[in-house]
Amino acid sequence: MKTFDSRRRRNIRILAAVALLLIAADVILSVSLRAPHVLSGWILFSLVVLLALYNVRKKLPFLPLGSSSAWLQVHIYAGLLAVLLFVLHVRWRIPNGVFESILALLFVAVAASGIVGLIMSRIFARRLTTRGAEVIYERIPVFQRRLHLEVEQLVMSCLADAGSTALSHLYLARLKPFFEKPRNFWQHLMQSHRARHRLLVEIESHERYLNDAEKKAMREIADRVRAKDDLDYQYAHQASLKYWLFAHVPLTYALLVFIVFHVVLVYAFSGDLN
Amino acid sequence: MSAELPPDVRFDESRYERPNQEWVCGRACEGQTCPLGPSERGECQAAYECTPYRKDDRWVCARLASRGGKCPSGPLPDGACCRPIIPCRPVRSVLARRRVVTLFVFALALGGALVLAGLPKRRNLVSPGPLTSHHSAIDKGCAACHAIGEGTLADWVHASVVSAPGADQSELCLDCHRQYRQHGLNPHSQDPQVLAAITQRVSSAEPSGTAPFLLSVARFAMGAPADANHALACAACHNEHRGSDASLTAMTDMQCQVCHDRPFRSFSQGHPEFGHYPYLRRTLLYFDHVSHYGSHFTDPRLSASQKDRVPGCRECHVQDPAGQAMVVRGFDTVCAICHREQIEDDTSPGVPFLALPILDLKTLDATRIGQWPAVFDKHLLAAADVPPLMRLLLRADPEFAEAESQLAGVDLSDLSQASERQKQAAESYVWSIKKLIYEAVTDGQAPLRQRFVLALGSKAAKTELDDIVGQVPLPAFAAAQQRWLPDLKSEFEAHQDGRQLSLPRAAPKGDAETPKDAAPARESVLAGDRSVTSGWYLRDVDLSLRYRPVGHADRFLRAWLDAGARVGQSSSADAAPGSSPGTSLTAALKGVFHSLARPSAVGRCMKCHTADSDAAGGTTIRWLSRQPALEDRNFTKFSHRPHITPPGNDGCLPCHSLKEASDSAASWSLFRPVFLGADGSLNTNPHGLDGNFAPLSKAQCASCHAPGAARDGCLTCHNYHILSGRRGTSPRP
Repeated sequence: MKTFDSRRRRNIRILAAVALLLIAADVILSVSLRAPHVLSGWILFSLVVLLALYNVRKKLPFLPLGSSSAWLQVHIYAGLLAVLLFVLHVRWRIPNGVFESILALLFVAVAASGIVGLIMSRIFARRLTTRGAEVIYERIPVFQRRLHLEVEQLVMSCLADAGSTALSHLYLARLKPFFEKPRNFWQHLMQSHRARHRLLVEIESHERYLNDAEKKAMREIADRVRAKDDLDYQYAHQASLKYWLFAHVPLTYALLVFIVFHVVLVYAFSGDLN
Repeated sequence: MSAELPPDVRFDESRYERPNQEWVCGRACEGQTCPLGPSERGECQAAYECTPYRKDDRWVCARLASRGGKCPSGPLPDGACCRPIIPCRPVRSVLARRRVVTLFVFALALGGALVLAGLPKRRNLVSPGPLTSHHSAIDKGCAACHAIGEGTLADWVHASVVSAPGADQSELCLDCHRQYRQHGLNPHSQDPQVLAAITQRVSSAEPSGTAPFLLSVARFAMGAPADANHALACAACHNEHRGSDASLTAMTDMQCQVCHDRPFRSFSQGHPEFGHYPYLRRTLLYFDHVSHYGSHFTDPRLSASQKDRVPGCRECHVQDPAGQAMVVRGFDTVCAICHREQIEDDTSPGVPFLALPILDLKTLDATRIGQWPAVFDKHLLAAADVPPLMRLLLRADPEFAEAESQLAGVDLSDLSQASERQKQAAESYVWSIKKLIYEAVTDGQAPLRQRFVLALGSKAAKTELDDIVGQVPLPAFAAAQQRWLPDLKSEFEAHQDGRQLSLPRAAPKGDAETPKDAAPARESVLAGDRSVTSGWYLRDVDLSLRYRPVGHADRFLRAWLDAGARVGQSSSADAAPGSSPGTSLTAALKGVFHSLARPSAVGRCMKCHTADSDAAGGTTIRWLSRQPALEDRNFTKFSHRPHITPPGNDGCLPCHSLKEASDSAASWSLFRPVFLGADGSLNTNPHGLDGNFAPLSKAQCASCHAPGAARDGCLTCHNYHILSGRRGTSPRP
């Protein structure tokens, strides 16, 4: 069985060979005064359709169309090839027409979101295994609410037993907003621990105002804070892995619309002899 | 932390999630989902936590263990659950939200594209980019260049599926670029036959070079995009809509060479030597640099002022306004210093226009020919024949042509051996001359113009006729008639009426008094030979009316030379006896040309100006030195401006060096045959090579034009579209 690295090396070699072939064909056609943009354009269009079909494939799991993993590999390398073809197609220049600029921007947006998604799927998946528990994205709110309730109960019990309001003030001012919903989204993506550290230090600094029972409760609360922070970490990464497709997929269909329109314009305006 | 997770949260033990469902519970984000979940239409289905069942006579709670098991309160007495679920507002799942966003963006893109195509200014929006500054002023919109330009979206879709309606795209280009209309889409805008001939010549002359690898592959894989017989679309090389400053002519060297049979790597590697370029044909003016600089300019007979004005290169040659070519300054600027006197040579008698030939008056009957001047002392130089210009006018008279044919080989000054028939022809010959003079004297220019029209044919331009006819001096005709044939009017009218002529008066002696009714200008016209240095005058010694050129570029001589050159000069000047009138006139016109075109002829016109034969069999006299025209495009271009950096001759000589070991004698033997035949006649073959200068060396150009230095691409020195061939000349390499 091939390892991931060996499969990646093989795919990169195939990608490089095809890329070289396409570059050579483009140069040869250009030297021969044979309109290389026609070839690069049609191959690019076919590739974009193929890339878009991956989304369709995911909706038809019951059809024997190959494994999703294989489709993903094809999607990744065909996408990289499409970027090369796009550069060849626009002849290494920035389009300056209104319509063509929109088309180019759409392609760049789709390609960039795809590359960002690829990077995220490679990095974030590894991160998810290094911190926090493996929680299903849809169950994160459940766990988050449970932690919130536990902290609330700890605070309420201290308030009833000790009669001190120090802990409840801290809860209202800092802990309640923290446990209500996911927090520190971007800091988690940036692998920053600053917010977590700051909150824990703040909790620790309140210990001198607490009695022993409250101190014990505070330590338990600190554990819940760590758990909630790990949960936020999971949430930030899993949400990113889900929501980047909100840019990639819709823009792909917009791109397809503009490509069809572009083909119509090109063939209508190029005339017979071109 | 996994160990800290409760079972209902852990991924491998919690309840199975269905994220692909359209709707999820509105409390999912609070972690309080109900077991039922929303319906497929997104409606909350929450009612009670369980549906109690009846066991015997009791209602039993049926809440699932995963939801907390049986509740302590149990069902109500009527069997209803005591724990109602507060309804929620279901929300779309992540997948469904993505689907909605996708549909929205898709609709937005489609609508945007359709709106964009439907806007009145859609052509600005769908344009792939601004036009170059050359085309940006076109005010016809897209339709000027695109057949479908002003169509609707439906038209565009139709045109993209079938072929574009109307003219081909490149044909629309030629609507404006009319100069390429004829062969514009053929390679190099050339007639396929012309290009094929050039290809054959170059292919056989040049060795095959080493082509760049990519070019070899491209030619092997794709072949040439077009051959001489097939059109190449304008857009193959010219890419528009790339901005106002974009180049429409940018091409790589490999693209230039993809059609060529002899490709090479670069200018310095593989480009053929220049051969005889730029001296591919003789110059338009006959000017021998070697003899001028070798002997004429150093002639000790030159005056001090002439020596001071010996020109260098830049005194005769100046850049044209575009800085491209070096053109020759005018005659008056340089050449006149030495050559004006040759043109206005008053030692030459000038061109004879009218002359009375010597007749054998002893043999001819005076009562039949009337009055005719006898040869006296002052007529010693009179000839027995008429001059070429007069012969041309006479041959427009059929009677003269008939008489002339019968008098072939007969000496009019001695008719003692002539037959009666020849004597009658001589009489007819005489009356034709008298008729010519009589018509000019009595009817003015009209009869002369008719004769000129007959003589010069339909090709004669009106301006040319005006130059010729308008300058014929009618007063001089009258003066000649009064002086040499004073009774012409009465005699000719009697001859016309068929009356017998009386014995004429004593023949004029050539020193008759000036008629009192002559025109005022007659005084100068009738002056002595040397007193009239230019223009018309009568010459008694040979009974002739002559013309001396009025300086350089004399209109009269030029018009006659042009007229004579047009009929060509390949055959002999004389027509065979019995030839048709048209042939006879043509031969006479050739005679005129030969008499005026000798380098030593009056005016010395053809001493410097050359005559090039053309494909039609005629000859074109080069009155001007090379005058580059803006629309003239040859295969090779060269701009002198950036190349002549040192002032004076030093800027020219590095490239235009006179041949080594050339002297006047060598130059005479090498250079003169290019322009003149061995017998002094004109050489009308323009393809003779200029022998004055050593050929240019490619290495000299390559010393600067090389990679990393000055540009060395094909288009630096070569044009693609060639236009000179359209003007009747072969394209220059």
